[in-house]
Amino acid sequence: MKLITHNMLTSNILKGVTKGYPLKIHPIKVENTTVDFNRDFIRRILQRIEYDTLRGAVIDLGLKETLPAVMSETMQQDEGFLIRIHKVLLEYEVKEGELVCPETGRKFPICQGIPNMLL
Amino acid sequence: MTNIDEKNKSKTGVLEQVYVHDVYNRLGSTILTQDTIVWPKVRKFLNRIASQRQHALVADVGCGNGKYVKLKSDLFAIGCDRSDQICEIAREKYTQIPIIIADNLYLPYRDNLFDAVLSIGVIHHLTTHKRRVQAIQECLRILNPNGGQLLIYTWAMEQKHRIFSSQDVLIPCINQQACSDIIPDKNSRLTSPYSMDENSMSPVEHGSPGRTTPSILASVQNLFQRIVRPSTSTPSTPKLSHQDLSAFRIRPFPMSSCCNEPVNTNPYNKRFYHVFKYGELEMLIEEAAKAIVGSRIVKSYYDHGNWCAIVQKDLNINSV
Repeated sequence: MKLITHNMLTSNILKGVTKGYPLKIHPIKVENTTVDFNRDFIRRILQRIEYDTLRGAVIDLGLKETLPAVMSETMQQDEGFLIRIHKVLLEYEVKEGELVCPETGRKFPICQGIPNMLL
Repeated sequence: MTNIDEKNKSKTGVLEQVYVHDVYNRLGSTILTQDTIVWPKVRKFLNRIASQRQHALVADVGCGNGKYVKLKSDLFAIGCDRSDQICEIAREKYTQIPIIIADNLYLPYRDNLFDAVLSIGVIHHLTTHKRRVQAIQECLRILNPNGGQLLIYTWAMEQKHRIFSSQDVLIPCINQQACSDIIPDKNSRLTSPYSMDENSMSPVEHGSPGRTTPSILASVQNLFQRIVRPSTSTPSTPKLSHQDLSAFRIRPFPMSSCCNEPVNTNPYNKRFYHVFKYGELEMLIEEAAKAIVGSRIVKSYYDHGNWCAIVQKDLNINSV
């Protein structure tokens, strides 16, 4: 599971959960791969993702690339910043771990890189 | 939810577990990796989405082996499927494909997220009208309200080369290999409180095509017997009575006259389908759309034996 996927997932499917977002990540095994950088894609996807969620996920994984608390307009034009976003969104894969509902604490396992979101 | 609702809900769940999920999990990589047919109109739909919005977000709900998820590099697509086996196969086939295991009635995605959603050959596996409505509602919920589009494909009752005896059918899977490791438990005895005469039941023998008629019912009973044992994937599965099975009006799929291959009649690999009549998909969508503001059908058509529809979600109607 990459962090771009994590950004889309909620535990809203559980009974009694109002928002269920963002899910906390308990990483057990994380792999780092290289993915081609596509500036256009990163600039567009930045408009669609929840930045705070991504920042939280980076902290959950303990990655060396840290993200600033606030993302300004100028930052979104900065090549260095875009490359960092690219790396954290696409180049880290949680192979084994858990996703945790922020409201109920219910855990969803991640095995072989695939989160299991069944009830 | 009332007690009766709870009971009914779990029954449909059992039927789908036996005749959809377990079968897909058993089919294995041979059949599933061979399923590479990309419907041209689905490709065309995705091409159009990509041209309208670069790097559009797409969700393939019930993505199978991931063929549509990986189809276009100018889209960001994520797949989900109910079967963990299928998801693993998709991952083996396409490394690091974004894929999750999820139930299409409870999609773990944020609201209003996707520019396009695909539901190709999925909702016809759901056993009740209510579940089919819910599946469509979930797809609409996750659509972007600025013109996001959902494409649905379901099997049509109206076919050129075959006749379905009813709308709810069990379709056998044509693959000897997939069934070769399934050995029915010959010692199993029916101890469940079914009202049928026990003498008329016999354990289904493997590879004996002449014995299909003692019935679907016998094999289904046998199957449920196996299911309620603790070693199965659904430990607390309730038992279905004979009356309940009849209520689903399941009929065996009539052998096609143009089919020369020995159709594998192992009842363990029959899949449940509710085939759609002309106009039924539109009615279903209209009912689902009541709960999701701004949804309307923009196109419906027939394609390769499927009834198809494109549903658009627009909160700002004037922008159309």
